[in-house]
Amino acid sequence: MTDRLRRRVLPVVGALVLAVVVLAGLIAVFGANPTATAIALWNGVVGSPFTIGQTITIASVLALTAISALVPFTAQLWNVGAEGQLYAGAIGSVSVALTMGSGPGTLTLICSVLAGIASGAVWGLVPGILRTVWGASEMIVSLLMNFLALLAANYVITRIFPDSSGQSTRTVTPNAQLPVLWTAGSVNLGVIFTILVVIAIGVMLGSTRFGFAVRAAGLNARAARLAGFGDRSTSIATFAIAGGVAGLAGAVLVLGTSGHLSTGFSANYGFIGVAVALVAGLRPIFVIPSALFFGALSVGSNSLQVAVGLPKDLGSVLVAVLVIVLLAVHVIRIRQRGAAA
Amino acid sequence: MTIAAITVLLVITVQMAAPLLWVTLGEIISERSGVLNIGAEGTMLLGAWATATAISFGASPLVACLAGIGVGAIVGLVMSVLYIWRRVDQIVGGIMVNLFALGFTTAMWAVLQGTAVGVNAPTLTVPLLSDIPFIGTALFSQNATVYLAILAAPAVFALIRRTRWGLRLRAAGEQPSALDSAGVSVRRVRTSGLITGTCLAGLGGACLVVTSASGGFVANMTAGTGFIALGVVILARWNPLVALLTTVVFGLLKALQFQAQSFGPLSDVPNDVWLAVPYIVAIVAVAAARSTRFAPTVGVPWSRH
Repeated sequence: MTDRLRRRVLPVVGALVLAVVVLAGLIAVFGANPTATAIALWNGVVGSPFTIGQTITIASVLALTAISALVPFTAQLWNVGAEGQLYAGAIGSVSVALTMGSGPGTLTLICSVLAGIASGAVWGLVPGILRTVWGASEMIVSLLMNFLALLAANYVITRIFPDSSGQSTRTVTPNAQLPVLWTAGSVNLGVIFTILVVIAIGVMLGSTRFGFAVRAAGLNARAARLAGFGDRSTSIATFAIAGGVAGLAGAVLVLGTSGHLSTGFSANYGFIGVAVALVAGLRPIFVIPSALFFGALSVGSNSLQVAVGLPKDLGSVLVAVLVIVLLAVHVIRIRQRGAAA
Repeated sequence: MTIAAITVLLVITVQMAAPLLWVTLGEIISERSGVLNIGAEGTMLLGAWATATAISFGASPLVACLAGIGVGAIVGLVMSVLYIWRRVDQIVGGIMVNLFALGFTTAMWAVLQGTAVGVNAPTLTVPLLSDIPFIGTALFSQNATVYLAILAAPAVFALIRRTRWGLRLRAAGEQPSALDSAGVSVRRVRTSGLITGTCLAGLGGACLVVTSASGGFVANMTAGTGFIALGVVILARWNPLVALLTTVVFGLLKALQFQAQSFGPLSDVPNDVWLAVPYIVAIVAVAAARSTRFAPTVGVPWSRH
């Protein structure tokens, strides 16, 4: 027990202490009081039903982008394009919802959610196919696809469905938006989608033939191929799933939270999802607590501006520093790959 | 389509190519030593922020560029502790460095900014040569960071191919165990390669600021230049001279965003398309460089066991 304590618990405690020290130093650099900032962060999360609801909503989005990173990672493929796939999904669902307009609400909703999943999957398939067919680095391609999605979103916002502000699309009619489950926290049906997706992916990876093929490809691609698992189709499928799940996150954001697509509406959720997946140890079941933690960090940091005068962009700094420290002390471990990309 | 329009297009081409070239050269050095620096984008952004902040406090362009390089060196130091000494995964580490840089620079620029008016680095015009039609102004009337970038490409080529450090760098990337057997520390060589690379990425950010119209900082102003560099490195097959030519092509593609309307048939294409073209070409290039592979040791932390 003492041995286990020394090897497993101490590094985690050490990492958290180190992370707190580094973050406190950073907050001091920005001219704020670290203690006051921590209190503001806490109040920003649990201060009101609305902030609690926000945390749950953002956590559900982060859980989806984490799954989007996790599935290809399990096959040792790098999807760092969840941000773009999320935007693609948002574009797809907002376009369908606005085009169908005043039709029956439920049908519009179902179609636009499916459109979001499909467009995200298409966006994810590009790096997946380029990787398997031409051997292109899926990591670089998925990174670059993020910028194309942002440009496409901008085009949709300014040219296709602009509202009067020029900063966002028109708003989807309320009866085609995701139904709200908890009014005080404005938590919508997207949370249920997330839970179902996490369970489905967990079951799929853990106990299906396909999941075994994905894990086998990650552990030893050559052995998996020799054992008769289709290497290419597995890789392509992981990217389609990753894109579809991130696309669902985009759909949930536009059809639930805001009702429209606006410039910069994703606060790096795609990239924070990578952190969520890593802290969850790449295991779907742990994605939910991990997403709640990072969701709280994101929502809490939104309140820092008002409470202690810190810019809200500091949220992604907190996430990055925390993950870097956890990586440095080997609390988060990733299997070493044989070769880059 | 006039001579004037072509001249302006070429001037912007070279200006757009220079920051990309700096960060690409940095990435080549780092990857040659065996470290995959996905954080080049973030390093460049931090370099740009440091330079713009220094300028806003009244620093001269030279001092401001040194600030950009200095920040690059600090980032490189942190990364080398993580990647080389703590064996942290370089892709995940790089993503986090980029996330940090994006948040940090945006937040810092909001809270800490001097009052000095943004200045461009002075343009150094070479007499006579700058009068050559078409290419004269583009090649001989630019600021120092642009000239240096063009000169740096053959310099980095010579450094990698012709010096003892370059030989060790390549050995660390391609056959680290041989270098280790020869009694040279693989980790130290990689550390030197990575830090040199991040200094050049920081300088790339500095170059972006001093060649920009305002001399100031804009949130996420690198806009994926560091990621395009990752593609250019593959396309150029880790060769600095090929990288020079490749970045000029990307410079031209970026320049069309500003100048396409001056060229008859091109002016009908919506500007959004021109914005997307560099990324599309980079993706196609990465896909088309199909026979090109990273050396198997690149991106894998070295250990004797």
